[in-house]
Amino acid sequence: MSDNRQLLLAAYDQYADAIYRHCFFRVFNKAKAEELMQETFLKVWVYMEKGPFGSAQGREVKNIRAFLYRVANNLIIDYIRRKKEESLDAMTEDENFIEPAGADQKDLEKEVLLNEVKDQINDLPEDYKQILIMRYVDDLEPREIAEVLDLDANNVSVKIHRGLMMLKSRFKI
Amino acid sequence: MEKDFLEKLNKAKKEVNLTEERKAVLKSEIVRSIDLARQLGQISSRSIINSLILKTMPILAYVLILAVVGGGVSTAAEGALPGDALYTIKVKVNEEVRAALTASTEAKAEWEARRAERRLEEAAELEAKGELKEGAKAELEEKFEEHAQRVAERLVKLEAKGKAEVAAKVAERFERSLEAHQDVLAKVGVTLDKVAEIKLDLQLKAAAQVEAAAEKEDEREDGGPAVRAATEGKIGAASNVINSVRKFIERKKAELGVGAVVEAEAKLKKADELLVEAETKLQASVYAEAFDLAQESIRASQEAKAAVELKKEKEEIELDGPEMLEVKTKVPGIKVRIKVE
Repeated sequence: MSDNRQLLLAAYDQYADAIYRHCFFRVFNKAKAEELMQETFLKVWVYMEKGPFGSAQGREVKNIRAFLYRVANNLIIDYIRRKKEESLDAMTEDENFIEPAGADQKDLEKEVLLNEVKDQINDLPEDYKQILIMRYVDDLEPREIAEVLDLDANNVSVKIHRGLMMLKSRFKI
Repeated sequence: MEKDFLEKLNKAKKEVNLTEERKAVLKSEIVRSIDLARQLGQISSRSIINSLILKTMPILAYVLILAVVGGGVSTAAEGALPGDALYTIKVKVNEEVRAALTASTEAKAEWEARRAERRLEEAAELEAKGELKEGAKAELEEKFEEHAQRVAERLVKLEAKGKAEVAAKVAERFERSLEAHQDVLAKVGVTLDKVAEIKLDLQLKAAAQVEAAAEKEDEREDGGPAVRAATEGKIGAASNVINSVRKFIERKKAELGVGAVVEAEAKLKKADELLVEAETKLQASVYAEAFDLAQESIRASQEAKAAVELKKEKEEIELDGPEMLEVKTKVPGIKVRIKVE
């Protein structure tokens, strides 16, 4: 079973950056994005080793890239749901800002840019947000997004278009 | 138009990267977790697993272990009792992981309540086997207190957030479960000293709440949204108290004389009327008065409950029944009646 370990670590070298970036644009928090990325890879390993729901029957993963996005997406949705419950509870306002990376001009510009993007994208419903990020941050084709989300490719294209329209009407950009 | 946004997004995504070093660190953590999980899958000696788990593991690895050896060690540990090799896994891994993964205050309170019950169930099981020795007894008692205290903290937190309804629901469930476990509670050794200590603790907490309410007094006048929310919270609490007391009277009805029931129900009716008045004032945005009326309603409910309790104690003594001791737990509003041995 050391094959799975090797497969996973190879996948990590290839996709860790992309999955991290995807997570970051969904939650806009560095530490959380790192954690979600790690958990994604571990979950995939468990799946390869033990099968779904601990059935003890390891499964082969055909398209590991799509599978990684799918697992990450599920983890993110869980996390957002938990966080919503908690913030309704506690009304904490942590994580509202992307922490300043440093004091020099370039860092400041970067921070401003990320906060702008965040404000705009966070205004979208979660299902549009996820698709737009997959399309424009992860550069996935509509048919690849369709595979990740178990949707029809046409449906994905429609949602991309609609998501962009929403941004346009809300921000008159 | 939207192209501006896409350009911005495109620029932004180039700024979001893991450094090579960070990527390597995160990778090594994954490798460590995987290797540990694989080892654990193969190791059969429970004591090694115990020591491995307790020494060095990050929470991520806990979760992973539960996923990987889920069918084995962690499930086996679920049935462990104090003194068993796997008991530590049950309490320190299984339960802690679940606590860490629970997000809302309500769920946390529920889980701590469940943990308190689990300690009592363990005591009952040991007792049944004739193995409830002093050491285990003390351990279980201490843990029970700890969990009950945490339930209390969460309930206070819920009330403070204006979620009195939820708090009441959790408290009621816990109360019922403790009633079901009263024999065990006595066996675990809830002593008179402890009861006094717990009562004092409760009184202090109540005093703190009164002070906080007094501080709010001035704010109440200006009728801002926070005041409205506080008033609504108070009314919610009053409504909860009425419901719990009504159920309490229902449950005790069979044991009580007609007089006591009539008296308690009359008091409860008054509480109900006060609550309706409070709600009317709230509708009319007269918050200060609504708040006070809700407070009075709560007091009336408490009097209704007290009427039942007083009568009941008296009757028990007259009946020369087993001596009962009313134990207030550390959870506000939760009392358990236990037989004194």
